[in-house]
Amino acid sequence: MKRSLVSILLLLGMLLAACAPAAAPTAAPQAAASTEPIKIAIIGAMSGTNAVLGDWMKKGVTLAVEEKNKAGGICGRPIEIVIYDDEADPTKSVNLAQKVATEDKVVAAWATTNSTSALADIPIFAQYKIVQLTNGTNVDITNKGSAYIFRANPAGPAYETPLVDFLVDTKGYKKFALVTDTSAYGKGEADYQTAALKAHGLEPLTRQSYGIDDKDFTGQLTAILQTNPEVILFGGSEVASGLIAKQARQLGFKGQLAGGSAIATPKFNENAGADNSEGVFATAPYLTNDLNDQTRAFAARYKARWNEDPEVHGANTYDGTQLLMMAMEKACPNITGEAIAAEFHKISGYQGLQGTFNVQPKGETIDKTQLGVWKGGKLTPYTQ
Amino acid sequence: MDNVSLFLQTLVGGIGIGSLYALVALGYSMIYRSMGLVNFAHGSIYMIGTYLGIIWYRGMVMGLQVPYGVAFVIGILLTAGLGLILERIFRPLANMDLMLMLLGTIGLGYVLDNLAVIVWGAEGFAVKSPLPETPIMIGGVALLPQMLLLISVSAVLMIGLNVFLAKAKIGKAMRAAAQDRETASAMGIPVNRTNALTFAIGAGLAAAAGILAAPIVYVNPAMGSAVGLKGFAAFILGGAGSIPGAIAGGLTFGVLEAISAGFISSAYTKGIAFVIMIVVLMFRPGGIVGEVTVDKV
Repeated sequence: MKRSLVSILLLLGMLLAACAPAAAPTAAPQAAASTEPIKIAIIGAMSGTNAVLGDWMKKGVTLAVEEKNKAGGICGRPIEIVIYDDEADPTKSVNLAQKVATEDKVVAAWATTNSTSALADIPIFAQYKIVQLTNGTNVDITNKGSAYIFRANPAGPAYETPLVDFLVDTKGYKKFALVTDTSAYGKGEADYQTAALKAHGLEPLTRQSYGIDDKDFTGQLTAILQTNPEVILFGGSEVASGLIAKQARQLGFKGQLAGGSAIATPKFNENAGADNSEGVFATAPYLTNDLNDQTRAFAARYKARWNEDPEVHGANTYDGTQLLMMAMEKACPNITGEAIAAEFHKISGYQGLQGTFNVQPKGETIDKTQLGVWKGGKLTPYTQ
Repeated sequence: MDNVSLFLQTLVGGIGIGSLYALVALGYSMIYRSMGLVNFAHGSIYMIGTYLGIIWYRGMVMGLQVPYGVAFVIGILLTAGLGLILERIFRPLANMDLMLMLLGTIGLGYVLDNLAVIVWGAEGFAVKSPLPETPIMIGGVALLPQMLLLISVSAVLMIGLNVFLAKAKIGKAMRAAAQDRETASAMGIPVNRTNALTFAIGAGLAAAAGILAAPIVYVNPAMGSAVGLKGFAAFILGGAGSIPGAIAGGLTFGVLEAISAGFISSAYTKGIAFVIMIVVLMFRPGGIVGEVTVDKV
């Protein structure tokens, strides 16, 4: 009996230990005590199917901050990053938003990698007057009336509208099937695709959905193939869309595949396989590291730091962090969320990796994407 | 595509994913039968088992790359070994209050999930199939070689397990220990050792399922939660503790899910499958096959 009790205590200990890593902040190296660091947070999916989004965000933000700290920081103060995992779960995300606002006392936060959680966190950051950055694409994010939310990449329609326009006007396709997940991101992208099709007087033949952790899409795909589409448009995230591309080809689909920014990531290609990604169209604000001198230099620094090539999420979190730090410098010495947000809104004409940023009143910063095509496992800009 | 081949295609997909659920459900069933323990860490064991096999296939251990078949066997053996260790941890929990069992196994699941993140990172990877990725077409139905491998190897494992339990001496001992621990003990059956073996077999089956499914799904430390839940549902649906029930439950659940995705609503497959499960249990509370009463106080 005694041994049993010991075992239970041991297990309880393990349970606590298991919970601990998710809650423990990973602090950036602390600078000299005389200059108090400026704290910012990253809340995002660091585990689960969307963990890759959190990983990219962490890498893009950390690189920008480390470069700034090396160059002397903001008004002589270094920036410190605290990182939390919300597992792409809006409930956990809101709790973490509360925590960074009240316990860590950050002035700005990346929150989050996912539209669903980003939307959930907006009231918290607005209430505590903390600058909130996201690379989620759902349009509603900037329609909630918060003066503290900023989006570091184009919103959903900027991906889907030009893509659909190209497929209809240039390629002459008329029969579209949509497949997307049930998250705010997936639902949003499919809604923008539907709206873009409607502008051409077209209706999707079918719209199929799946849960974000689903792995077998035979049911959805057979339903799609039955409608005999020319194009399957992806609305969901990179891993599932890649698996769907592979399974669609295996089920004998010969038509066109296309989608927004998730389709422009290496994860899509990895899961689809180069044979199945061949000829797939994707729109993104950052198609290739080989776009210009600025992107090539960024890619080299990113690779030196993380030992892997950056993609669109690494680039947009880097861009967003640059915008944030510019606003902080302007607000100096008054480093408060309120002052930073006010300066953030004034930024215009900043030349970032994704193009020219002009911050809009609702918190949009950029609205252009480019069209790319997968060729031999590489995404290349598509010249019409 | 005509309606018949459409239905058959959906059915094949359902049987494939259902075989996966069945192997996982067998693990729940084996452990429940022998120890009276519902092991909520089983989804995590499935995930760890997948990694323990696939890391060899992908050459992630000191660059040592082995063929898929060898990695499959290594993965099963390593995970079975892990099962032996876990059984030792679970042993004191086996006949305790349900609350403590729940807490203990759920906690252990978290520990395993976090260990996987620490060892292999949170980001997952896609696994290349050892078989051709082009499907075999039969009567308008596309059969993916890896899916056929999953279905056939699962079938062999399930039949093998049944034969083992029915015929082998140690298999009979395991059944005896499952039925009545005290009497089995009095008859000279080493109950703890048979339980350990049961646990090892359950863990090994989960690893087999994961390694077979890896080229079809995406491997990451979170992969166990959804499959663990559905395996558990299959275990309940088939009849808790029944071996044929776990197989029937797994296949039924997989097919239900695929059919609801293909013909009812794709957005709510999980909901629909679980609703049907609840309805079945309302009319057959013992599950499809029937319950093995575990009577341990």
